This record gives sequence, C-alpha cells and structure tokens, in this order.
Amino acid sequence: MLAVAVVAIGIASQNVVLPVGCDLPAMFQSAPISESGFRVLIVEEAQERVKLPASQLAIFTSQELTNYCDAKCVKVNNTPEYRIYDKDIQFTNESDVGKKAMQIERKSLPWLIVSNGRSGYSGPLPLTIDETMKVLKRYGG
Amino acid sequence: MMIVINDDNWESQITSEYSRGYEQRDRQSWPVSSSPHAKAFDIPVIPRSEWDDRIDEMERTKSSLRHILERHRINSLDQKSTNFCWTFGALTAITAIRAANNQPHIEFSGASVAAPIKNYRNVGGWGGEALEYIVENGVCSTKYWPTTAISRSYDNEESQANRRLHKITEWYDIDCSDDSVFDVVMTCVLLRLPVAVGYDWWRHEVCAIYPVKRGGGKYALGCRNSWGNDYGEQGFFELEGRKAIPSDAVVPIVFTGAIS
Repeated sequence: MLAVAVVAIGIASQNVVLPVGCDLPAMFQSAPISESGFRVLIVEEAQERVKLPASQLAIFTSQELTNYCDAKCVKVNNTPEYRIYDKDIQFTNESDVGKKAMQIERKSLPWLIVSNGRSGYSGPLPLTIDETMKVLKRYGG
Repeated sequence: MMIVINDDNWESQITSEYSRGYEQRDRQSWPVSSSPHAKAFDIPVIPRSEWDDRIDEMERTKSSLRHILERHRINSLDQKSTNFCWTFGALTAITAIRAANNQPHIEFSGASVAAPIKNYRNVGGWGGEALEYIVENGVCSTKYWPTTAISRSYDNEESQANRRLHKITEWYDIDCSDDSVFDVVMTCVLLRLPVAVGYDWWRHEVCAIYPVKRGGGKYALGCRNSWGNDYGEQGFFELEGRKAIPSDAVVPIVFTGAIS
C-alpha cells in the first residue's frame, strides 16, 4: 500500500503523462540496473518483429533514439551501453552489466529497460519513438 | 554514385573486373532448410499494400539498416581477388545485425570462414555454407586473420579462441523456387533483417539491406556489395526488375553477444 501511495504522489507532483503501453508499476521503481550510469536495453524476439506496428519497429534503429543513447549512455570500451538483443542471444564476451540486464524479469516482448543507477524503467516497449524518448529522457536527462 | 542494376544493363556487370564466386546451390544435395542449423522461413510476408507506408516510416525515422551502417561509419567489406563473395555477403549481414544491436564494430575475416571450408582453395560457394560454418566454428576478427589471407598459418590457437566468440545461433533458409521470393526478401529488409542473396545470372552473392520505393507499385532491393567503398555509394547499390529476384537467400537471425 505504501508503494502505491508513493506512486500516486509522484504522478501528481510531476504531472507525468504515461506513454501508451507503459504500465504504472513498471514506470516508477528503483533502478533496474544498480551500477551507476545511464543504460538502455531493448529485448525483443527477432522472428516476431512482423507482429509489431511499424512505428514500434522503427524505435529499435531510429536515428533519434540511437543518437540520444550515443550521447547519454555510459561508455564501456568506447561503446555506449545501449543494446537491442534477441531474447535468445548467447553471450560469449559481453559486459557483466549487460549480461545481468538480460536476466531482469520480463513479462512480454519487446521489453524496455532504462536505468541511471538510481531509478529507471523496466516495462513494455512503448509503441512510438516519441513515447520511448519520454521514458528515456525522464531517466537520462 | 548510385548503381542500379536492372534487366537492361545487367550484362555490363558480369564483365566487370571485380571478383565474385557465388556457385549455384546444388538443391539436390542441399534442399531448403536441410542444413543442420537452418530453419525454413516461416515469417508471414508483409503485404505489398503496406510497403509504401513502412518505407516512408523507415525514411522518416532513418531506421533502415543502411541508415544504421552509415551512422556507425562501417565500411563496405572488400573480397579483393578472392572468390569468396558468398562468405562476404553473409559477413555483411552479420555486421549489420551487430550494428543494429549496437554491439561494437568488429571487422570479420572472410578468409577465416571460406578458406577452411574450401580446403584453402580460392573457389566459390553459397551463403548457407558460410552460415553453417559460422554456427559451428565462428568467425575471426581481422586482428587474428587478415580478411583475404588464404593460408593455414592463421588457423592457430589465438584465432580459434577468437572465432569461438562470434557465432550465429539461428538462421533462415529461404525457398527461392517460390514465386514470392522477392516479397519474402523485401519483408526481411522491412523488418531490418539483412539477407545474403546469391544470383545465378551474376554468379555473385551480396547482402540485401534496405527496401527502395520506385513509385507505381514498383520496388527495388537496396544491397551492399563486397567490393569496397568505391563501388556504388559506399558499397550500396540497387537491384530492380527480374534481376532483384535471388537464386539463393539466407538470413542470419541471431549472433552471439560479444564486445570484442
């Protein structure tokens, strides 16, 4: 009950408009990834892309999203910690943080994980680039 | 300058100075999806009525695989004088998948795949051979095996350890005897799935990367060659008409996650 009350206060004070496709409990929570730094992970099923609306499919590789992530995400080996992974990917040499992020519980696909180390989002991928950018900017500035 | 190959000008392409190497697939020995790790293509084809809108969306959001490769400034591969287009086409697809995943760019060695398959001879093949080998053995970075070096000396402990990091885990084999094969390949590139496409008329394999709208219900296949950045626009070119319909087509789907 306490958690619900905190959520309600958060919405009222910050006048947040939830993106379509985002569920409330997922939107407001502690950091999905505890390590410091801004990170983004989209988990999908490549063979199921045909079922996604074109507007949602465009999120994965859109210029707006990738440019934002290039600028904001923490870099490991000079690469921004932003990934789009198939749910069945096998890691041979990924960062430990990346591997851990893939183990975060998902309830559907595609799934979006955004974390700045203090707070973040773990929930369904919104349906448009604009809605996704709102989630990213909330935690990445 | 963009190169467009079609039913009127294709003959000039088969007399070019560039190396090729695609060998017509022996469908008796290799029926569709008969390779140990290949799946028959089972994704529903996107109806043509949706193509224009999807291409417009892709252009508006700059979200095609070509956009991604250009944003990452990833050069076209160059098979040079080898007959390994069938491996370079597959590696172009893998490179595009990794770029779309935002995995750090690794330049992969064509010879590390094609040379062992062909017992270190500079001969042709088809894309499924390369994909199947990469499932089993992986592919090396050019740090460990120069991309056109057909030499056993590079097959050492270091290169073997490196190739094990880079493997395909899932791939599709498209039935090219079906009349709908062009629509299937277009579906793939609309879904940002690169396709290694082989052409009997050209004896060459390239990688289909992006869809092109011509207007009036006509479409072309945007591809990337393996003849370096000087060919076409940074290796990109377009196939249209009957020349866009592949004789063979394979689709790597999932590649291992590796940052080096």
